[in-house]
Amino acid sequence: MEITVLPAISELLLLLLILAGILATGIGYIWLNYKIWKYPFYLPLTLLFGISLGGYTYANGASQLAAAFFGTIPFLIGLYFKRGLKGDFKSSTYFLAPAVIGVIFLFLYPLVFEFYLSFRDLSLRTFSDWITTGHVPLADNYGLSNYIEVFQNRATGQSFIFVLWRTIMWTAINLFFHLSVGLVLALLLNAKGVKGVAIYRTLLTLPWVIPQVIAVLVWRADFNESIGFINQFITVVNQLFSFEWSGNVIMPLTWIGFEPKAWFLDGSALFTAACIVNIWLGIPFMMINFLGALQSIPHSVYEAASIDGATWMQKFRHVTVPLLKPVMVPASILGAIWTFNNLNVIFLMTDGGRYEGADILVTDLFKQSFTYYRYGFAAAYSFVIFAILCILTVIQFRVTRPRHASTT
Amino acid sequence: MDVQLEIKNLEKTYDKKVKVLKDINLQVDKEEFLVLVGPSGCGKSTLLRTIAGLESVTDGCIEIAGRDVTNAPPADRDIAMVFQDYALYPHMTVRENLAFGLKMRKTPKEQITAEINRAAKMLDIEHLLDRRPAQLSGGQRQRVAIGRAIVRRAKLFLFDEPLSNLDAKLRSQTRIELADLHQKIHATSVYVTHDQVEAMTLADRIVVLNGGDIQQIGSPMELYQTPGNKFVASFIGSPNMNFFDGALETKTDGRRVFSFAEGEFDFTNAPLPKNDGPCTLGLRPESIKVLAKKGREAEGPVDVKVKVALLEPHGHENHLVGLIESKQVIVRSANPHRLAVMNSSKKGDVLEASVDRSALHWFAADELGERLETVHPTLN
Ligand SMILES: Nc1ncnc2c1ncn2[C@@H]1O[C@H](COP(=O)(O)OP(=O)(O)OP(=O)(O)O)[C@@H](O)[C@H]1O
Ligand SMILES: [Mg+2]
Repeated sequence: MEITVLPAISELLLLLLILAGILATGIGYIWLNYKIWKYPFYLPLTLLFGISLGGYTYANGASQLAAAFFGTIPFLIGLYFKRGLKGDFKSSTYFLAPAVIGVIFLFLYPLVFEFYLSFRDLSLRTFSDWITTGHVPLADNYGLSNYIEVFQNRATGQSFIFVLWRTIMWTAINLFFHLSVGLVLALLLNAKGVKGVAIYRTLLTLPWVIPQVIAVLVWRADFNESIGFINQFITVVNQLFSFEWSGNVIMPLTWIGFEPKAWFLDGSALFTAACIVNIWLGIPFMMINFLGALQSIPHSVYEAASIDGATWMQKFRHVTVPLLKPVMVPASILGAIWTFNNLNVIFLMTDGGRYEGADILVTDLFKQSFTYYRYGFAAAYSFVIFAILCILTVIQFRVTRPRHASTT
Repeated sequence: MDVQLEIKNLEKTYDKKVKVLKDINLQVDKEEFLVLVGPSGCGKSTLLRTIAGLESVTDGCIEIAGRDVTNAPPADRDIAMVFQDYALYPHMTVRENLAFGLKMRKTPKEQITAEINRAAKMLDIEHLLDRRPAQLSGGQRQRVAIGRAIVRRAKLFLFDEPLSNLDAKLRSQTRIELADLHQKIHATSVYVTHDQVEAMTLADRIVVLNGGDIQQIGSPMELYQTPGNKFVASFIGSPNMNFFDGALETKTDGRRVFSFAEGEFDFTNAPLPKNDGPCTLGLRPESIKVLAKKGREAEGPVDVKVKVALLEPHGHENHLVGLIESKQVIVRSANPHRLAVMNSSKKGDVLEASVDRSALHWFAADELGERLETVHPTLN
């Protein structure tokens, strides 16, 4: 595998540039919106957007009719909102409608269509038929064969249960470290009399700010077997703790598995590496959340507790934890879902699926479906994952719900 | 009487530079209600927090009930504190809030219940026990905070401006309840406030602080009638005392006259400082008496002519802002005859007034402005 550090840095710069561009566009958009409602600038601007959109579609080979249609969309949208704001149609429905339409077309319709597809045999073989006639044959076994295949006929040779088990491990390990390390860091940053908190906070938030792609690429360079930092570090530490005994060099740390590894070729090492990277990436989110919650606890409450005779452990247990709970519960549910569904890190760490041994359900889905153009199968697989997530979420809500909701 | 709290030579310096408390010496007797007053930033809260152990001490020592607690953590001092923002535990019910301190001290269950019921009854919060702090009004939260102190039966109660987050009406009502409570449970208390009405009405003794220094310690009436220096004189009493910078001199005919830039008073038969020379005269607003046309309120020498600038009727009394030449003075009266004279006056009218010779306050002309001893002329 060829990984050098240099391209990663140039990529980083490029991506930061793109990020800045996106940010500038966003701010510009908001600013323009603000101006637009009041100034005649409005019409030329929608026209400009229209012309660019139409021009773009036309340049990409759409028919003139289609280009004209796209060209008028910004104008129509602009007109719609302008009329609303002028007071002709000031009702909540009027302003909700575009969003509802958006949700229906971008979210509900695909979901329903995907459900439909999961019972159909849409694959490379039937794809051209579907394009020309719009017809997709029902899958075998009364349409259930996609679902059966998810559990049985698997291209990667790893059983579904095994991948599910690994996914749950992945989620549990990551969430555990995200929450615990995030909490510890937040407590440290919130401690009384710490100097330079702003600097530490910025540094600790960095992993979250850097685009995941960049971060993972850098980490991959670090995990490189021969030139990566990790292996070199392990070697040096081992040498530090080594000693000679009757002519042999003894390195006690290697006995507990602390030794240089072929991180990408050894399946369990790859899983460990992926966990390390994702833990590193996920800590800042929890830390910032917890820090915010901690800072909203008035200092005097702790003082009251110390006068009431609570030790620091009791203060943590009876004051900090209960007051963090409203933040901790949603954060951990969100974190669990994100981690469970985290394609990026595993996908990039396995170099797009080239390396085996670290796949979780979503990357397995990706690998098994899109490498082989099995669309119906992919739809069925994602519904299975969806169902698992729903069950897990319901369980989590049950477990974390307060025992007795306060009355009166 | 037993001394419950003793503070000796206490000093507190923040960040090795800012000296907030300077050589504080203080004793609080058992069952006494001591009030700390002073302007904002004078170190009242800091003093209270060092007593509580929430703030370390730079120098000196603190004893509670005869035990040196200078370096003891707050939990070991057997104190209870009521905070300005109440500092209730937001996630606990009122009952749990009250119980927390007892639980931490491993009090038996039955005793906790008994204490909570006692405090709840005393503070009239029995119907609120199952609510959370967010479901209470400001006054109710205040009671819970006080309740948290009561259940502990601590040796010393500390209050840091407990009423300042309440509106004026509720504040005066709670003030009365606090006084009532103190009469019931006789808890030794140190109470911080910058409101002098609270100080005057609640305190057995008042400590006036300024710039980290104790200015004077005494009962409310002592402070009012014999303020130890100009600062105390101006801080205690509302409206403020009127000050006249000037000099005392003995005329050739034996009259003793105090003259200041805008005029002079003939004080021949009044208690005065022994020596002539520059000094400051302090007159409480009620010591300048507007003279009525007839009756007892018309008696007395005409000492000054006050030009009316502004009249503030309060119903039961009037505050009159007047001018002696260009010097502004405040005159107060609750006497119906004098009120009538004030009420019938208009801006710009000149009223004749007499100075009550038994209520003159004399201060040295220097920066500190210490109270000067007076002698009665007939005694010489
Ligand atoms: N942690 C701190 N570090 C440095 N200086 C402090 C600190 N806390 C208080 N001070 C300073 O100590 C002085 C006394 O503060 P303190 O809070 O005791 O005043 P206060 O008399 O309670 O005033 P207020 O009536 O406004 O509550 C102030 O000048 C304040 O700026
Ligand atoms: Mg204060």
